[in-house]
Amino acid sequence: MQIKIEHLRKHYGRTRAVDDISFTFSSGEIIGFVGPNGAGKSTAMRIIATLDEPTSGDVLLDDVSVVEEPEKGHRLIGYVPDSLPGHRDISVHEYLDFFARAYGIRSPSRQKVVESIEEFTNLVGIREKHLNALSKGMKNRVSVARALVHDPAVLVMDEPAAGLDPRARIELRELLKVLSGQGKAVLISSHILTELAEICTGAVIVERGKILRAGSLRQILTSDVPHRTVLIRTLDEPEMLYKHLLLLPNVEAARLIDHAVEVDLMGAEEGCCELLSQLVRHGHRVVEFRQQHAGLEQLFMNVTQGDVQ
Amino acid sequence: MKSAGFMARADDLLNPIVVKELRQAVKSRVVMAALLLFLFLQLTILLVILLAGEYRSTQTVNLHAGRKTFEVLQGILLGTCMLLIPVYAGVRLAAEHSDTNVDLLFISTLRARAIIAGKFQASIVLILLIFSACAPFMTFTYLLRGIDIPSILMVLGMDFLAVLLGTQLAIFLGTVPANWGLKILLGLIGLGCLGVLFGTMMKGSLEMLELGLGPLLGTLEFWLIAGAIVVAVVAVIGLLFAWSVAIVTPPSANRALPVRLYLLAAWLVTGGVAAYLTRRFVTPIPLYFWMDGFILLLCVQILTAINERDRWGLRVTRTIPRRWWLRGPAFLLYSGAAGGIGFALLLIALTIGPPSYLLSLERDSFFHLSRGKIDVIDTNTLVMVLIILYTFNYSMTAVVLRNMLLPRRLKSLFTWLLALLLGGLGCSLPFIFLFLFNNEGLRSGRINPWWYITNPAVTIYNIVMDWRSEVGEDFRTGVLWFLVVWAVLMILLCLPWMGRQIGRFRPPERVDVVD
Repeated sequence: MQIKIEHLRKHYGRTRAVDDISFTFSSGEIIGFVGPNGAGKSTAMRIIATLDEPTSGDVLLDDVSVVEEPEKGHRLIGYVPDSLPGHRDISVHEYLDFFARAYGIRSPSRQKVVESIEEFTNLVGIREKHLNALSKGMKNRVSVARALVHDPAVLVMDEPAAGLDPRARIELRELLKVLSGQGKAVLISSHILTELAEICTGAVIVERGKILRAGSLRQILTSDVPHRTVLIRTLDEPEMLYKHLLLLPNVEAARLIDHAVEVDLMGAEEGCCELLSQLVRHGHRVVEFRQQHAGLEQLFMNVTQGDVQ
Repeated sequence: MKSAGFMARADDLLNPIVVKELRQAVKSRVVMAALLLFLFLQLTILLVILLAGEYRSTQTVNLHAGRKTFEVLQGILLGTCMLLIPVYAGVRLAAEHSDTNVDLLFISTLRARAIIAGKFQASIVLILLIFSACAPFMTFTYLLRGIDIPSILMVLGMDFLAVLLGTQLAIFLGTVPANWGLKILLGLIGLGCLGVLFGTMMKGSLEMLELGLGPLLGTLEFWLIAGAIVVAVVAVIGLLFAWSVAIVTPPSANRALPVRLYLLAAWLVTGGVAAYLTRRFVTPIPLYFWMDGFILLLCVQILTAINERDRWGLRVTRTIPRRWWLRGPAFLLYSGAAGGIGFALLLIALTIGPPSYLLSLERDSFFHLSRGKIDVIDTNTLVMVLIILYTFNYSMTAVVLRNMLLPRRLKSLFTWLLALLLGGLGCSLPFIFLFLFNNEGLRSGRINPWWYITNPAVTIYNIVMDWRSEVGEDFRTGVLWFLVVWAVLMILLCLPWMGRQIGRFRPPERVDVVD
């Protein structure tokens, strides 16, 4: 399934919460939706989940427009909100059973579905507990379970890792990998960028409602970067290489690290090829030549200004 | 094995919301505490009345003890049901369907109809729970004399119907998309309506018990009138249900269609019942009741229609009939502002026109009405016409202002607020002008009625009060002319807007695929 977000806009008076956002992702992909607070991530996710209506634009799940036909979208999308809405006097099992009924799952398969989801999300031990009595992490788990009850093709998760302890985060990460392996398309927003970088296949960075970068993780981490950092190790003394590198015109800076040299190069990736060939021509016995990519965190800091609307 | 399969199938047929809400209610301390308090109150009151009666009347027998006790118990039952159940249902729904926090059940595959029906059914079960807790105590009053079993059952039936109406009203108000300020305002309006309903029911049932229902129960007339009232109340409950469903349905859907079809069906059924009763009892009152009720409803329809869309998405256009002669009725029934206004005006014309004409023909020959009664009927008809014209004019003025001055600032969804604001200005400005420029006249009360022409309430009051005088006749002719000219002007100003909607109301072009 292909999920196409097309020129999505959401205006509240003069505030443009979402301002012409377009991107695409497919089944099996995990897309990190990244941006500072107030960037419009939650609003865009609520629109995709059909909880809000856009001012203009559309979200297409293959050929199904969730704006025109939200009812068809409901079957295809599982939404995990940033916090589980308060429900009094209901246990975890009853809550999941309610949503299984609401999605039209009939008995006897309903019982099996709910039990397998409870097992999958590790909720078996707390299934009889009341929702109100659960911790934030447990509630998040229930929220994920609820979103999976009807086996949706697309998962939209708004800050599912917020407030989770390290173990719960690792479990969530593993869960997402399994879901992605099952062919589900996952759109996930989080502020924990290092973790996102580990599981995401792509990312969309937004600020003030606009997209700043979008694409596969490799693509956005390598393209449009002002300089590249390359780690070079030779069989010779690193000082020689270091002195030689400082003489080269494309080299911005060089640092000695253990028995290697780290170089900041200006320009595009072609500069790296050029450097390698120059070093070989000059007789350096290169045994390691590795481009070091900036992390998602670094890229995020580079491209965002931290502005809020 | 078979019974297990049957139970599973029966379980599947239950509305998920009923299952969830009843599970919650059973576990809810608030609901349980209210139920226990309710039982305790009834038991205490019954004991107090019995003991006090025993103490007081050692010599004489109180022949009304049962009725008096029943009245107290009915007050408790109705008060509890009218306050607890509608508020419980309405507030929960309002919390789940606020504009900032929509509950996740609204993005499940449950249809809007199932959601509203589930809320209503869950409330009915709670109402039945409270009624079942109360019925034994109320039936017991029969043994205390002064009341008979049929009267008890009749009043309980009326109470049940009234609580259903109150609950559906609360559910409707709970669905209205609004911020918390407006929700609180709607809640207060709802509480006011429930209070009025409670007062009316108490007064009505007390009077009925005072008169004694027993002898009436054997007459066909009583059952005809009771049946007509039940039909009317059920029709109103149905309309509130249809409105609630329409609000919860996604805006891209053709959400006005079921409401208008329902309104049309209710118009036909209730009109038929009213016509039958008019014929049967040889009095035009049932038909005039029906006309008045429907005209007020259709005024609400005008006020609702102005908020609707003026262009259609693919989802609706795909269902627009290709045949031109089907497209006309579809335009009136489909979601859309101009169609909605046209539908309301057409139904208003059909509500007032033919029945008034037929009734006027048979005033003397069939109904044998006195001059005084004819005056009352004519006044009633004119008041209805004035209410329609004022509603139409203020609504259309709001549309004109929105389209001309606030096209981007005011969402069409909130045009009703602008109309109400204009109405409020129209009502208050005459008093402000009089206060500023004719303070003396305002104090003495001698004001030319033309000052109040923009105030519907005062103008209608002046017309009714001066019905028989010559000055009054001139004034009402003048008011009618003023309102008609205003209406025509608004129609002319809205014509391009309406024309564009008629032009856009077409099915999508057919795409011929050529191999």
